[in-house]
Amino acid sequence: MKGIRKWMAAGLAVVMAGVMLTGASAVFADEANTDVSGEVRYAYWDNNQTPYIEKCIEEFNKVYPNVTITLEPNTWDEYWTKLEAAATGGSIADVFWMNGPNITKYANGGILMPIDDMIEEQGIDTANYPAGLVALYNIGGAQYALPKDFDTIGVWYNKAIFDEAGVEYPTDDWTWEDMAEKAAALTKDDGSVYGIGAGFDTQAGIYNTIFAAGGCVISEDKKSSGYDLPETMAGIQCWIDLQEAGVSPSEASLEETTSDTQFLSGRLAMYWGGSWFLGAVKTSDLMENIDVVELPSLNGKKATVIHGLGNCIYVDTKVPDAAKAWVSFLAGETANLISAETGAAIPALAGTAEAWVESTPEMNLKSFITSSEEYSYPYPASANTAEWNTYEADCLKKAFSLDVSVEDACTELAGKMNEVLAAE
Amino acid sequence: MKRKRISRRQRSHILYGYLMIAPLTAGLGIFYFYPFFKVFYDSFHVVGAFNKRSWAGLSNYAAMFRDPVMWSTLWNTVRYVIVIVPATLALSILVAAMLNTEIKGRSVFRVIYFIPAITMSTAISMIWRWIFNSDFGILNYVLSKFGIPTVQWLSDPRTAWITISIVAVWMNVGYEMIILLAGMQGISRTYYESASLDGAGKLQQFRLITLPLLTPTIFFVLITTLISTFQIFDVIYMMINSKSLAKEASQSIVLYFYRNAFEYSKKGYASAIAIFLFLIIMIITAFQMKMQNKWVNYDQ
Repeated sequence: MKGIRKWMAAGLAVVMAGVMLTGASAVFADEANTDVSGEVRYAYWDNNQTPYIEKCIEEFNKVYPNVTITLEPNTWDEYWTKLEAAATGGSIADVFWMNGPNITKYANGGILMPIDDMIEEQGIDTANYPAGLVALYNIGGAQYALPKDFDTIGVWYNKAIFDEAGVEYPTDDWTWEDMAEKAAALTKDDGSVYGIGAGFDTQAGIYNTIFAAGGCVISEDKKSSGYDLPETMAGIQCWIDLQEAGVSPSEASLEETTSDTQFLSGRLAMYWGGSWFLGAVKTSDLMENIDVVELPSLNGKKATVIHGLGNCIYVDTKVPDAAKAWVSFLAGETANLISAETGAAIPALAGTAEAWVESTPEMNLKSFITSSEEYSYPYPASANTAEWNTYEADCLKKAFSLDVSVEDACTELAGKMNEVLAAE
Repeated sequence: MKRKRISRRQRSHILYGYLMIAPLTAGLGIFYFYPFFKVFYDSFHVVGAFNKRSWAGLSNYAAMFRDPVMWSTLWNTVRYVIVIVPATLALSILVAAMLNTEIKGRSVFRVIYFIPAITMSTAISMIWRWIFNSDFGILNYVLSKFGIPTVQWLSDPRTAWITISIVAVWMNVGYEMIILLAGMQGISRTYYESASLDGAGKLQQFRLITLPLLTPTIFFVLITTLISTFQIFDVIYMMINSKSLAKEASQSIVLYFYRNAFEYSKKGYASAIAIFLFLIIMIITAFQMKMQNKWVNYDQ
């Protein structure tokens, strides 16, 4: 196949050169780079993005025909455990997804290759990416990744359930009280439909309301926990109120069958989820029933967490040139537009997010862009985020299952989290 | 003292012997002895993310004895042993005895009971997780037909460990049953023939002939199930996730070891837990070996 394509390209070049004399052959010589070769292993965790990645590989191989990209998909639950074990043993993928909570640990651990020289060589202007996300992947003055995408949180809702109950669809200017009222009206007594999924979640749940209530998860100097602040507790209490009102499945139920699954099987009318959820919506049977709105305001204030993934290169990779070629391709316009068109994730490169919104014109995807521009807060993280994330789940779930009060849960959590932060 | 002389022939015999066991010894060395000493070594160090090591003396052990979560996971594990080991033994003896009689389709049943032993435990756990799902699972559906309210089998801290025990017993029985069956078939027919001539019924034969003559096999099964239950991991790992409400109440000590080593990046501390568990199992097994004279019958 490769041979045939090469011959066809050459043949075409000759013909076109005959017609136009110059130019045509130069284009082909420019485009196919056969010097870079090798096999690049690429690890990631979101299977919904596989179509996007496969399309990227197709385009990438037109430019770099001698580089093979081998995909290593994982589930989110196991990704970080496996990545750390692989990094320790030296068998980590050449290029892999990275996020805010883990970047400091991996950069300080000497696992990642700084890409400052690559950015310079390729003439990439970092100003074309959201500044907060570029800074997220800059540790100790070195850049380790360029943001691949960004995500904010919205409320996905099932129009069919709203229609059936005769409840009006939510609008972008709605409030928390509106949401609670609608949830109550949508909940059926027999437990077959609930208004909302109010289970424990950080990025797509309490973090947003904590910021909206004026609290914080971690102090700005990253030295102390914000969970003992009354504002933070208020941002969690509002979820517990929904649980107590019985408009959501219990924490235990949401734990066994996660809220995204319950939403896509038609058991939940509303679901707080990230912009990344679009991929799952598009492949579900409920596609035409689903739309999305901005998060409701809490006491007049709106807030969403903003976060974005980056592609990192393993410091000791055997194929540094091929890996860099792949990473810079993913940061480029072609890959960003593919991400927009497939709906995989909101591309980070300036000017391509609009294409993502237009990829599904029947949905209110603009709301994610509005929230990112107007009221977004960075994802809370420190050097050892993973460890205090465990305590968040351990302590706060007991509040969500209504076994302990929010105040007790938060006080316990703040104590444990401060211990971790003191050891950092 | 007379020194034994070794002839050339004997020497080549010995050499061949060593050569024969070399592959196995090398495998054991690489996959058991080296890791064992590595774990022992690591237990005296702080080993952080990406294997950064620094000397810690006995501080891992000191922290372990003060860690309430370690004690609660140890208690969870002991509770699993108390429930799973006797249940496995009783059920597998019962099934083996039934499959040792002349019933129709005996080999089909033997295969059916053995299937769990050759199926991946992860696959088994996935199926059981759906059976036990509180909203969509078949078990609660069946129970609801009898008017029994929804039980949160996997997410309620009070029931999760019972659910795990049920699945673990179900998985164990097939394998242990085969071993016990082999033991039963090793018992000479003549005992039964003379017993029936003397007028002993089936139950009496089982109690007075099968059970006593089966004790060596039972002893073997007891020791291996006890050790494997102390190390119970995969069923819990697959069925109850790390952010579950029931995590604390169901987590075994090996799972706590795993989470420390691979999720919280505390390999030194995890190594100390592993050494502690090793000592516990060793003491219990030594005790059993000593006690076996009291009940295991080796003369046929």
